[in-house]
Amino acid sequence: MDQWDDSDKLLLLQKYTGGRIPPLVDVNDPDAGLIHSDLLRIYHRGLHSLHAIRLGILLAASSTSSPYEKWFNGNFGLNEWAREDWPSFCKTLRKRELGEQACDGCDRLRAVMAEREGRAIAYLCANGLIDFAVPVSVMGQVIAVLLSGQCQPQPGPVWNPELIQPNGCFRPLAPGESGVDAWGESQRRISAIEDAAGLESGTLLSCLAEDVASHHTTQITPAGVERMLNQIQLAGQLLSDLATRTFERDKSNLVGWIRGHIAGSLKPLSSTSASTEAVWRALSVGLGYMACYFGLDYVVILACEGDLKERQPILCQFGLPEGQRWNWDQKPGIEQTMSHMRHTVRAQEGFTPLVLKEYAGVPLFAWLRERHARRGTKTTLATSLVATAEDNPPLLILGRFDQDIDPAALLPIDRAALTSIVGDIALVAEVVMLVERLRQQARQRTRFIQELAHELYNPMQNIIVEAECLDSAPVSEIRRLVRELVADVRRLQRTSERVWALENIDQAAYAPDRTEWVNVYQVVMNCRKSLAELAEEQGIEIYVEPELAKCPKVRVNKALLVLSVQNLLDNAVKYSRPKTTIRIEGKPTAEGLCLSVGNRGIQIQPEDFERIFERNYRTKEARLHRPEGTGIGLCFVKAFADRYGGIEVRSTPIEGTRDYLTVFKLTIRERSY
Amino acid sequence: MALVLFLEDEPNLVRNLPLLLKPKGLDLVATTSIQEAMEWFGEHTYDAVLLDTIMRPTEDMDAEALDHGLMTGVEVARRMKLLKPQVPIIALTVMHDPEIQRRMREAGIVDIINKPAEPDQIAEVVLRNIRRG
Repeated sequence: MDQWDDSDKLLLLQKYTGGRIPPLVDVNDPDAGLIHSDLLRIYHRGLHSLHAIRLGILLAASSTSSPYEKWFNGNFGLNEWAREDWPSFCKTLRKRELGEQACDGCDRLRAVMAEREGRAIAYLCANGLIDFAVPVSVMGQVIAVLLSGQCQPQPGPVWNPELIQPNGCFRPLAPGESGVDAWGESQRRISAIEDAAGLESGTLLSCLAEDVASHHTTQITPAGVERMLNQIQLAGQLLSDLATRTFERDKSNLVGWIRGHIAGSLKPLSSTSASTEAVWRALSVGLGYMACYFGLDYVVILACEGDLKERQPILCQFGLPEGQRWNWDQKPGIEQTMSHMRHTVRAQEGFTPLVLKEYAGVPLFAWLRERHARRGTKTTLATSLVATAEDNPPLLILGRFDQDIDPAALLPIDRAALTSIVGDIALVAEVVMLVERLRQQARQRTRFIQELAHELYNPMQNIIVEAECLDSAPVSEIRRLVRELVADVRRLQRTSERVWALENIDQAAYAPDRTEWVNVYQVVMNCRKSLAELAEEQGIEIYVEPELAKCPKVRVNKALLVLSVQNLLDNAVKYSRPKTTIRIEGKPTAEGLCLSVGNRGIQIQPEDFERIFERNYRTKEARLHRPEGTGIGLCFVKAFADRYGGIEVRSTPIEGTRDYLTVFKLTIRERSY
Repeated sequence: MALVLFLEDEPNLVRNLPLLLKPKGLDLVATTSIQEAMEWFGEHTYDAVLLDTIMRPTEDMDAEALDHGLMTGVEVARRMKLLKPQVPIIALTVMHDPEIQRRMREAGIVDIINKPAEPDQIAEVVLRNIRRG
């Protein structure tokens, strides 16, 4: 709440919180209703002046959905100044407690009727006068009833029979229908209430006569009632329209403001050094506004599936305890549960209700379930935050502890707002994830450049020193120096070739249609020879199984195959334990052959089995073993494997040692280009 | 003749650079092992230390914090500085990035020679820092 700086919008948010419809008018706070109380007073005066209509307003109680309770728990708004215009009949009767109760009770009952009818009604009130009631509604919901009337029915059998029934309404007599004398019934009811309220007999009748004589009350005919009904109907309609326009305008402003906050949460990204954490923090404020608007207890954004390995997969949230951590990676089966959840949510459009009990294995959901259960609810809502075709989008989870939410039950205006706001959140999440991916790539690129510098500058430094040493070296040292110089030149050459190849992988030399029949055994033996010196330095033997020589030729791009085999062997030599053997095997298959390269050395973790083929990616173990290294070698292998078959890697521990047996299996299928 | 401890993981350079720098007044005691270098540094008196920055971290180092080896030499320099702050430490490095070089200086490295460098240049920088000290 401290971060909310738009105080007027804050007040508006509180007025409309939880999807409520504010009262038509608030008797205590002029700004808390849909219509200012002064405006209503002007409206009342105008109606009275123009059409002799006196208004009372019965406001609905907003906390109940029962029409009966709504009116019986509702309050009478603004009746104090409206009362000034009432006839003496009403003023006298309401001075008695029983009279006031009888009037109020009748008014409330007729409010129920008016709401049910959905239009202006006229009726003979409990105390003998003809009154009118018309509903005032906003977005199809009746929030108030205007009450008016206090007319005396004309004598004579001119009234429809239902009028004098306890819950009856006025309607014109049908042709040929026999009318009843409502005036007689009116007299009877007046006498009855005089008696019940403890008034002297004839008091109210005298008041009524006086009111009629002074034109405070009208003796009304059925035609007069019909005219009044039209006027009252119009009065109710005008008020409904005014309230609805105010409601729609305020809601639109609020939703625009919330959406502005959500979009504005991207602002920190305008600074290249700003972390994406700042965006999530800003977005959480927007989630808070969203929660207030829809009356939610929590709104949570869960990270993509790949990020489940992180301890804290909640990207952004509102409603969860501050500083709460969720240890997701220690729960067995959690990945399957989350996968099932995502699948369930992705299968549906819009929001999916999730039964919390089914996901109680997930720490966050266990926490939510406990709180929901305390208030008797069982489900939360989830949706995918998909702005583009993203395979693993984040999930948005939201809910209320005390109520199962159904988006379909929201007002149309709120349903549209929810869709828009969720769409905006999805866009923000998409942008943040994109920026994180780009920054990650930039970091990898920087790392690649640093490691490339090592692979280029170190051999260069060696060459400079070796060359200068040659100038003054004794004869006995010349051979050694020349050998070292040549090795460094070759090292420089290999690095340069790899970098060049990396940048030109799709170009002519490696084009898919440049294929020829290739003897894989010969390629392997040539690569083995080129790495002999490097292997010998560490006491590593490269053993090629004789069966490989019997394998058939394959039709592939030779340059790419050579590059792939070279890099597989190079990696094997670099990451092998000294004085071990690298084994190369080949087996013919129905479509070509399968080449495997196995070595004993550092581990490749299962989660890196696919990543090691990414450009510039190096595992933690590889970096520790050889801080230099560019991480580009295996991407050539992948490029070859993608075209001609496939590549698999496994790394299994060797019992009794700290070493791992790592085997790369390259499947080669012939291509008939 | 100035005595200089030389720590570098390129075996060729460890073998050959001392041959070139001896006639220029620098007696390089060279090793590829961080452990060995720390032992010798503690036990003997050197006029300067010349070290590479990218090396495999030792087991007692936080590999993640050292960016998996890219900043190992910086950590070695830091430890040496704690032991004998008066000995000038010079980096012979492929890391030309100004930000990384700033971190090297913060760790106590007084001068930085960018690889690839001429042996004369290496000698000049080392001798200058010895004289300054």
